[in-house]
Amino acid sequence: MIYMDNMATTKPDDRVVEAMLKYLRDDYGNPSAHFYPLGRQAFEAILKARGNVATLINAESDEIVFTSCGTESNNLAIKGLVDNLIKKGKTHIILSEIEHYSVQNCIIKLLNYGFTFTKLKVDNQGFIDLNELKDSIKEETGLVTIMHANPEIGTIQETSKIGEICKENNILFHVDAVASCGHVPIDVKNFNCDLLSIAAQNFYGPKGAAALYVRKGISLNPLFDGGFQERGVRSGSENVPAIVGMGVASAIAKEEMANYTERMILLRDKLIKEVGNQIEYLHFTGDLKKRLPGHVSFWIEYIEGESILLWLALKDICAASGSACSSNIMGEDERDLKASHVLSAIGVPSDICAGSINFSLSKYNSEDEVDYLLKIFPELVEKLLEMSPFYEKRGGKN
Amino acid sequence: MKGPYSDKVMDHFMSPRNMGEITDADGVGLVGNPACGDVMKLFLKINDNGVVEDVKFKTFGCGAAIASSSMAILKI
Repeated sequence: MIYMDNMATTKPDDRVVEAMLKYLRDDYGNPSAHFYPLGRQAFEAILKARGNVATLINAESDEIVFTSCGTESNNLAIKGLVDNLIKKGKTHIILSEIEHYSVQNCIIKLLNYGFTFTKLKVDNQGFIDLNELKDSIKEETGLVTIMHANPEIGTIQETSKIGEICKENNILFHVDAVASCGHVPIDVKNFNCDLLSIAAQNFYGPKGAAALYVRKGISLNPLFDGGFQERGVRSGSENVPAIVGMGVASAIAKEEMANYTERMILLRDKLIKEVGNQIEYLHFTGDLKKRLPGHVSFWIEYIEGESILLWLALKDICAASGSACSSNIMGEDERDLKASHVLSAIGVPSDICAGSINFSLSKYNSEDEVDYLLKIFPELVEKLLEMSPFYEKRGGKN
Repeated sequence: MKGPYSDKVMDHFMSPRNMGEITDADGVGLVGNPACGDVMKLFLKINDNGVVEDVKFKTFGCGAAIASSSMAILKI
């Protein structure tokens, strides 16, 4: 099997799994019970993990709040600020059109509490316009939330510049860095951000551990009430094995980042160059340079995303699509073939029939695997083109 | 490991029956939503006695759409 759907999740590093096993099998204590060794070991393991996560994003240990997933981090960042923002009369939020559902749906929820929002458009590459951001700032703007990299089209925003604008205007800035963390350097100080979401499963860590960076001095309301874990911001017994795994994944990411990123870019650029030459009706999405290191995304005219994914699966290749029934958020019963909100936002025409595909590579992919993909992909596309009622071979009859 | 579809659906998806087009068709039908839904184009060849002699199809859509087009053709 060739796994190229690393934006969905990554295979945990063996060193991560090894470290976690100890806290599943032997050191199973509750970190709150730190009066005996078993609990204290768990307590210290979390301390160490917190340090590693903080180092990865250039934060301080006590600015890291562990959560369960990227969605929870985004929810905590936005909903956690509600009281704070209402008290100050800052009830206007700015986001972009291509934010993750967990950001968009949070903000829709806040409309019930008197909030308003402005959704910034993105250009064809997926970048927001910094001038449009400046123009959208109002007296009552309290929060800007714009993702670092988009998992569907790979584009990496100019996050530092966005942060500068927010800082100058005394507006809180939240960054969803779930797709990019561990793949490119993240520096919360350079980003000028106040809150930043990351998730372990996206950088060779386990599911069930994620974090929210909360800059010192910012107080958040918890999403649910309970004990004093994570200083009361995120109550509930800690998922020690997963948090330990996240710590190890963070340390590995920091240590191996430079070589890793370089290798991913080589594989990515080879795939982009050759698939672009091979397939006539292919259009790349996102910026070709300012993008995630292992990320290749495009759409193909006349053929549909799910049938491409199915053929890839038959060839033992796992990939994703932003315009297939299977990846629609509406749920099992409301599937449709419409392009995702991200593809619509970057101007992929929704009134023509097309399918989108993302290959997101990992450190486990070899060049041979990329070559195999390049070998079988054009045949598979040709097969679907021949079946499409919209496609006429060039030079053929109309 | 089972995929999202049954073996029968996958069989039709992988080798659709009567896929293609009839250039001198007596009847051509197009169904579906051109604004990015499933679309099926059906070609019929009918002789002077009103008997369907040949039938072919082309489909844009997901695995289920392609397989059901192929299965429907066999009913004709």
